[in-house]
Amino acid sequence: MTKKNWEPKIVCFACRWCSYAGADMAGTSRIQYPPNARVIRVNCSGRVDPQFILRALKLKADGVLIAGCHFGDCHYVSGNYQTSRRVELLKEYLKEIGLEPERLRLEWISAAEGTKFAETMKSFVNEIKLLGPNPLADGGPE
Amino acid sequence: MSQKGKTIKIAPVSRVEGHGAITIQLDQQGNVADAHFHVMDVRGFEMFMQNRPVEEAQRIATRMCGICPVSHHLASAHAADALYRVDPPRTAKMLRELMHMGQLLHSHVLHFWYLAAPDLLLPDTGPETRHVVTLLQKHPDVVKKVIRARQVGQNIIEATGGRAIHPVTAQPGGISKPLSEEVRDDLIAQVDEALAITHELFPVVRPVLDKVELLDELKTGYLGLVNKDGNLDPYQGLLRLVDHDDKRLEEFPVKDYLKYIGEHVTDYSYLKFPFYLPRGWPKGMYRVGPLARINVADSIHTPDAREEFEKLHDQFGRTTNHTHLYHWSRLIEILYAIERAKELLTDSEITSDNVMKEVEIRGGVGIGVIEAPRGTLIHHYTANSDGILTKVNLIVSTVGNNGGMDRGVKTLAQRYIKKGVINPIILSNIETVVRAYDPCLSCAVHSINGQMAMQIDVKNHLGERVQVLRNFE
Amino acid sequence: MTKPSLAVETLSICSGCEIAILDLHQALPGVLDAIDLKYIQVLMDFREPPKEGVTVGFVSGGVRNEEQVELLHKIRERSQILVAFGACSAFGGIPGLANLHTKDELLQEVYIDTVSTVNPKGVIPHKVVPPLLEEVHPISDFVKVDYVLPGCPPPPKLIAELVTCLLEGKEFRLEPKTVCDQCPLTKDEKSVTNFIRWGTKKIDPERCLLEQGFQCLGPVTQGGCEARCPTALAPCRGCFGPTESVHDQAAKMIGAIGSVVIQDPTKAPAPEQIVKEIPDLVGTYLRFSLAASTFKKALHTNVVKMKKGVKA
Ligand code: SF4
Ligand code: SF4
Ligand code: SF4
Ligand code: FES
Repeated sequence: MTKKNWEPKIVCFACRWCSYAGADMAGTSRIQYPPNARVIRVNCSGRVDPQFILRALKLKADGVLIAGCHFGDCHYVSGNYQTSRRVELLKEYLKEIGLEPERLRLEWISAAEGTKFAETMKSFVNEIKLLGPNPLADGGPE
Repeated sequence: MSQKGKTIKIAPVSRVEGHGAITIQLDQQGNVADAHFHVMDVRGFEMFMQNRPVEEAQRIATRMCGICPVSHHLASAHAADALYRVDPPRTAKMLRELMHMGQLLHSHVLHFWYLAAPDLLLPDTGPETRHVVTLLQKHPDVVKKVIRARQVGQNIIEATGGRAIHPVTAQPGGISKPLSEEVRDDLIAQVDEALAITHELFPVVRPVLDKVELLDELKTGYLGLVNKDGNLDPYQGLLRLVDHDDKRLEEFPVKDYLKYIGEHVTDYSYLKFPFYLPRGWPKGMYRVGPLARINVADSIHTPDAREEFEKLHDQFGRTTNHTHLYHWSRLIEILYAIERAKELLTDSEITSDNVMKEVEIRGGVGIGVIEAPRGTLIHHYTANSDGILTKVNLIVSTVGNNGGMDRGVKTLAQRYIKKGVINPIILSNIETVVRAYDPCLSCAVHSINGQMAMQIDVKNHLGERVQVLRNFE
Repeated sequence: MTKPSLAVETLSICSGCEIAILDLHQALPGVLDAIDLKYIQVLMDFREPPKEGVTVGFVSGGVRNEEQVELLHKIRERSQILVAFGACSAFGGIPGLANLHTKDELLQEVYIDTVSTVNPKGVIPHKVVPPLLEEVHPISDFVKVDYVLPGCPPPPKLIAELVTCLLEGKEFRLEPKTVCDQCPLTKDEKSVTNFIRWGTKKIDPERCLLEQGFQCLGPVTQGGCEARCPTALAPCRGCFGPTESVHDQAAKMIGAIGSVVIQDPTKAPAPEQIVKEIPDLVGTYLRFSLAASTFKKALHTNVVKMKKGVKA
């Protein structure tokens, strides 16, 4: 893969109650956002096993976006609070191991916020472009 | 078999813990020109203990050695106490010391009876059968007693440390768990049993204890801890350094060790060589461990151990340089460990539940010392204000005898290899000198890893390898 | 019938695994009777495992240098059944923490930069001694492993169980339990309001250590040790490695921390606060299994870049 035509690969875990619907809305209302993401629907942001997130990075995703309901809106009451703690700790893990914590991002996006979803995706893709490819992609550990 | 102008390498040296090798360089006449002892691995604890919290070091450092993990656990706790400026409650100190006595007992019994006794009691057996399994077949009741004595040691460690191997309870400011009265009573009974066994076992080995001619005599300094009365104390006190002729060179608290001790690096071993700084390397070579402690101590306060201590000195003088006497010294310390354990267990405060003081996280320097079974062990930590280690220095016991092993190998090689004539029995006798120090190479190679087993590389006088000789296929 | 034979190979070790075998104590003579012990360096004068006739090979220690790779292949070839014996062999163990540094950094620190070292010429050992690999590996990076007996070291009781299984030709498997499942301390509710450093607070001898705010890896660690550490009121550091369903103890522990905090958001600490309260996440959560975790080692070149603040 040459750096020139490199496009960031993003994995997005989106809560079905809010963000996934938000992403849908962005799609149906034809709000433009970069096509770099694979969106995976989950039952709640709190159901995303931190191991999946690491797995995605290990498989050379350039960035991982977790999207869940706003505080107070989680269908499982505290799922998103748990997520917020986990993501913060995961960033620390990445830092200690030598991966840029900016490759992991957490956003709260409701079902009505199609535009926010698109904007988030745009800015995340731009930020990852600045960071460059996942270092595991060129000669990192298997 | 004639091996003129060659280097012989014995690898691995077996029946010691970890991996080591011996090389012997012959001259053109086939006599020994030079000989060295090599340690084959290094793990780098000084590096990867950095960035860890001070209070986690006690549980990481243990993995330098599975035979004397208690020493690392406690030297680390001493360093952490110093760094966090906390003085643990008396009961906590007693429980730690008790743990240490358990270890001295287990480790010395292991070394003497499992590893060295086959050399001493089965000298005519070939290398294939000269080991504890044969001993078990020939002297089953002796071995059963030995097993029990070591078990008592491990049981003491488990009761005070949570686990017999790699204990977990010592922490800055004390120890996590008090000792219940029930367990205390049980340990007292076990300790009594261990003492009785030890007295039964002594006569079995008495005839070989003073056979000093078996090994070399090496004039070096000796380093070890003594308590405020100048007596043997493997747990705490001042470091005393004496010369081979009993002259007192230094006595200092461990926090000043950098003024007196340096470590030399060679290109042929992963193990460093510590030395008495003012004299430089190699003149400042000193030895550590049981013989060193018996040499530096004025006396021993427990009666049975003192009796043996006096016997040894009556026979060989105040400071003695016979490597073989490491064995006898080890047996003296077995007695001491048991007697001291009994004293601690019968102290009414041992079961108090006042076992820890809360610490406040801070930065600074902490230096801790203990006499591990194999010798003086120093942990030196520097931490930032979050209590995270930023620098770690470790002077590990076996390292203290690296010079002794290196020299001892040469002396014995010169004695046993003449005109290029070598046979496997001679090789294993040379290993015996290494084993006398009970080198725990895994410990020593805290710095990457240890393998002790031997192969002999034969090099000619030009240094070219002409043959690899191993006393195995 | 000929006795099954056993050979024990040691790689990068602390010897604790061998001592654990000796800690069978009175049961040891019986085992030595049932099994033909062919090779164990710590006790015998043999330099390598016998060429043939080894039924079971135990490997203790991780792989740190080139010579150990050879030794490992040799014992694999010569044994019918190979057991990864102990945490180092199975996951790299504590020495695997060296993977947070490069080999050269490590040698520089040990032989040159340590304060008591006097080495004006900067000598690094290289004669006779085998060269180090770049990092520490669990043995499964090189050979097929038939059984894993975790623990640092494995408890003698489990060693006896394993040996019995092998003698009877049965499969050996640890029950799918965590350390918490075997822990005697009382867990009541998830109510942690802040995490505290070990040693900074008196320990409640009845209550779950994690719920007291200390870091304890019980929830993410394979059971089998009978919760030895928490029973001694010291937190679990995960020496049995991950359970079968867990691949990365740190990721799983991060998951557990997320949910052990008190539910009421007005009482819960902020995520940034929690990060501050848990120093050295990798060194604590991957204490024994870094070399077998998701990333296995630090991405050294990137660490350097990140330190300098240079973006790729
Ligand atoms: S697993 Fe533990 S006991 Fe075994 S060799 Fe490694 S550090 Fe030592
Ligand atoms: S977290 Fe630790 S203390 Fe709590 S139940 Fe689990 S093992 Fe026991
Ligand atoms: S409690 Fe944890 S660290 Fe302690 S022995 Fe068990 S698995 Fe190992
Ligand atoms: S249901 Fe959407 S984050 Fe929990």
